[in-house]
Formats: sequence, structure tokens, C-alpha cells
Amino acid sequence: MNHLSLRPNDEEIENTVNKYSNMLFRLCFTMLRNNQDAEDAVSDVFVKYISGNHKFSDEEHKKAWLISVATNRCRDMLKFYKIRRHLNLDDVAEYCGKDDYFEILSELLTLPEKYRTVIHLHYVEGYKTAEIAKMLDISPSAVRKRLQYGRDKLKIEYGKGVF
Amino acid sequence: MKEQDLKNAVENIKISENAKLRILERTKINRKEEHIMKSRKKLVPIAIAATLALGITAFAAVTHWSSGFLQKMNIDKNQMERLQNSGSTLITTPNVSDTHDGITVSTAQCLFDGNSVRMSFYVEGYELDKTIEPELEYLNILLDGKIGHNYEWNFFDGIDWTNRKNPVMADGSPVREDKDGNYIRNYRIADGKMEIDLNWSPFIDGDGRLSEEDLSGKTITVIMRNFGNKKGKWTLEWTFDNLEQGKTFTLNYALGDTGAKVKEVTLYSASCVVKYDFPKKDMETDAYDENGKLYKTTDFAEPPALVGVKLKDGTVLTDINDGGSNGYENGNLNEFISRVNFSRITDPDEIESLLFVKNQLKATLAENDCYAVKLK
Repeated sequence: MNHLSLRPNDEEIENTVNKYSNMLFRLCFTMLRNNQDAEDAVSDVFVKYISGNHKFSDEEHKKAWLISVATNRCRDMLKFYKIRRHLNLDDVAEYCGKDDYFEILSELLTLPEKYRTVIHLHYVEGYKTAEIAKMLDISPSAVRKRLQYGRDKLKIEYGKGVF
Repeated sequence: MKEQDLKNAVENIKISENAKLRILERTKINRKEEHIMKSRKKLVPIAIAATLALGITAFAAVTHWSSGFLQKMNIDKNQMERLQNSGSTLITTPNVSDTHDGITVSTAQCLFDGNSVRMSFYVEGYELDKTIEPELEYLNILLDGKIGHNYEWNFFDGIDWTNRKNPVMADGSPVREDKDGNYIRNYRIADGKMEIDLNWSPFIDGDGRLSEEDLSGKTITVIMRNFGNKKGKWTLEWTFDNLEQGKTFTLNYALGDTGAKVKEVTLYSASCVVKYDFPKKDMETDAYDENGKLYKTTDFAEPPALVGVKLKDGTVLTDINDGGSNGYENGNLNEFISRVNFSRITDPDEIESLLFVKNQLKATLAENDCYAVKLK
């Protein structure tokens, strides 16, 4: 099996940041609910990425690792860091090309953190229950329950669920 | 809501090019400095561990306070003793519990200073490996039977963030990491129980709007449902009473040339309400569209935020702001109201001045980075 390099050089760092910063920022924004904290969290994830001897079997493995580190980082920030705990509607408005999106994002971001994270990973990033369970270090049944609760709250109409 | 709409809406969230550049720069700098950071890493936790071990012993001699609660509020031994001896109702231990299917939930501590609420609960009989995150499916709050909003809760995971850059475990030992570099958590506190910590802003309604409300004499009901595979409903109920009254200061203090004037401040032991004379003012800010193209958007300006306090003994605390809410209430667009939760318990009588930040971009603030507003 070919492993991706252990210690990334400057070029690899640049490629990784370019490739994954948007995806990670979206996830961190969903969890932390404001721009500045999300940027800090993404930055911390990449610092973690360059400071260990991480072996990735392929890009999917690397992406899953980055997501796992990001969710852990956000959870830590939510618990004990000095961050803005309220939902910043101005930050939400910044990302709304359509008025409908403002309502959708506001509803998503009003859910408790644990529900909006699994909703994000499933519906936005397209991960299956078992994959989310592994990333978040919780049981698949817990993921299913959180998805169910989140769906009920958001009243999501879905037809191609991938459980 | 359609699944595709949700996906589209979230995919509209994009990091700005400037932010990406900042992240790239920071990552590369850290890579160069990595060998220096490694050697520091080994030294720091040991010193902290020794300090903490002393602190925890001292607390244990006083009472069984919940670990996460103590850390969240940065409560020290003197404050704890003072609170206990004064008969203060700032922190109470409502004697309520509920048992189902071998699991007992009880109230550990409740802090209500008349403005913000922090609570912690013990969970006994829910057996899991200590490193596995416990599952609680629902936690709901009712206030006099009406649904409460705007609260966040989590299981205490054993990590002490008192020193935010170098966390340690609650027993003072270093935090260990797994092979991926994630912290290994411990969800069981010293006596084997688990602990749930909760923050609640009771004065914000379900639409995110600020509203005045008095909790005095009202009944709070906390309902928990389904711990992992243990199905059931656990209900805790008690009444808020003998509430602390805030201490109000009329100040009318202009904050430099910012155009903001601090009109009035009401201080509580763990939070405060600041009223500014600061008429709503829209301003243009830069934003990026989904293609990374710069465009202008409008936002409203905010006055300098309260970030710290200076105590009468000369101590300066610049990290006291632990979140809260800001805005214009009840349609009054001339008065900006900031509700700030404190990261520690602070006796209003011991505060000499309030510190409002001049430069929000600095990571670590000193007294001269702030406007100092003396309380009269």
C-alpha cells in the first residue's frame, strides 16, 4: 500500500490547505457558528496536520482524519475556549445568496451542536452513518438517533438517504 | 426543507481568500518552529499538574463540587469558602434526583446570578468505558412549563482547560493523545459518576430575540431522555428563589472617539448587562461570493466590547468575557445592549473598573489595550 508522505513539505501543505480549507471551514462554521472561530479552528487543524507523523492510505483517509480532528477541535473550543456562544446572524447573512438559504442556515445553526454536526456530515459531505460514527468516535446507533432528531427538527424531505 | 437545498445552503459557506492565506502562513510558520514547540510541550504540563493537584485537594476538603463547573467558573478556594459562609444563594445545590432503570440523575450545582444560568448534573449507573463519549438523546428545559431555548450542554470529559494553551486532566496528569493526535478523554469523575454541564441564556427567546424576563419564583424542569440504549425519562424540577439582585451603575462614560458611550452597567456575580448609547449605524464590509470574488455587504457597527475588569486589589483580568449576546432590544435602535457571561465568579463589590477593548485583533490583551471605566 502506498502511504502519503509523513511530514508534508511546503508544497504539500499548500495543496492540502487549498483542497480542504473550504470543506473544513464549512464544517467548523456549522459547529461554532461564527467566522472568526471557524477560521481559528481550521488553522489549528492544519497545524496538527503538519506536526505529527500521520500515515494516510489515500486521500479519503486523509480527508476523514482532517474532519475528525476538526470536530474534536471545535468541541474543545465550544466547551472551554472563550468564544462567542450565541448565533451570529450577520455571519449567516454573509453566506446567503438567496433569502431561502438564510432561513435554512438559521434553522440548521439553531439545532444543538451534536445534531447539526451529524446533519452536516451526512447531508452536506455525504458520509454514511458508520463513517460518521468512526469520525466522531460514537456508536452508529447514536449517529442514527442524532440524524433522526435533526431531520425531525428541520423537517428534511429526503429520498436518497444512504444509511 | 429539501435535502438538496440544505446542501446548497451550506455549500454557500466559503472561506475567504484572505483567511486561507492567513491559515497557510500560520501552518508554514508552525512547521518551521516545530522542534522548539516539542521541547516546550514536555515541560509545561508538569508544572501545571503540580499546581492543580494542590488546588483540587483544597477544594475536596470543602465540599463535593462538580469538576467541570469549578473549571468553567474559575472558582478558587477563597471564593468558595466565602460563598459557603455567607449563605449566598448564587450557587445552590438543589436536592433533586430521579432514578430509572438503574440510572440516577441528580443536580450537582446550579448557579443563577439573576441574569445567566450554569448548571451541572451527576449521572450514576450508566456504565460505559470511561473513554467512550456517553450518549444522552435529549435534554430539554421548561420554565414554568414553557419550552426554554438557547442552552448548550455536554458531558464533562475530564480535561481541565484552566490553562487554555496547555490543558491537563482533572487529576493534574498530562492529557494523552491517541495515534491521530486527538485528546483521550475521561468521562468519569473521581467517584465514578459522569457529569453533564449546561449553560443557559434564559433571557433570549426562541427566535433569537432578546427579551426581559424575571426568573424569580419560577419553576425550572430539566428533562433528560434515553442514555444510550437505556430508554427512559429522567425529570428534575425545582424553583428559583432568593435571587441575587444586580448592582447597577449609571456611568455615561464616552469610550474614546468610538462614538460609543457606556450609559449603564448592571453587575452580577457571574455576568453583567451593559447598556450603551450607540445608535444603530450600518457600515459596509468586505465579503466573498462562492467564486471567491470580493463584494461589499452591510453590517451594523458594534461598540467596544467589555472584555475584563480591574479589581480593587489591582488584579487585572482581561479574559472574563465568556460569550453572551449583543444587539438592540425591543426596537430601540439608539441603545445597544450587551449581555456578557463571565468566565469566573467576581464579587461586584470588588470591581474597581470595567475594561472595554480598544483593539479586538490582539490575541492577548493588557490593561492599556482597553478603555478603563471606573465604577462610581
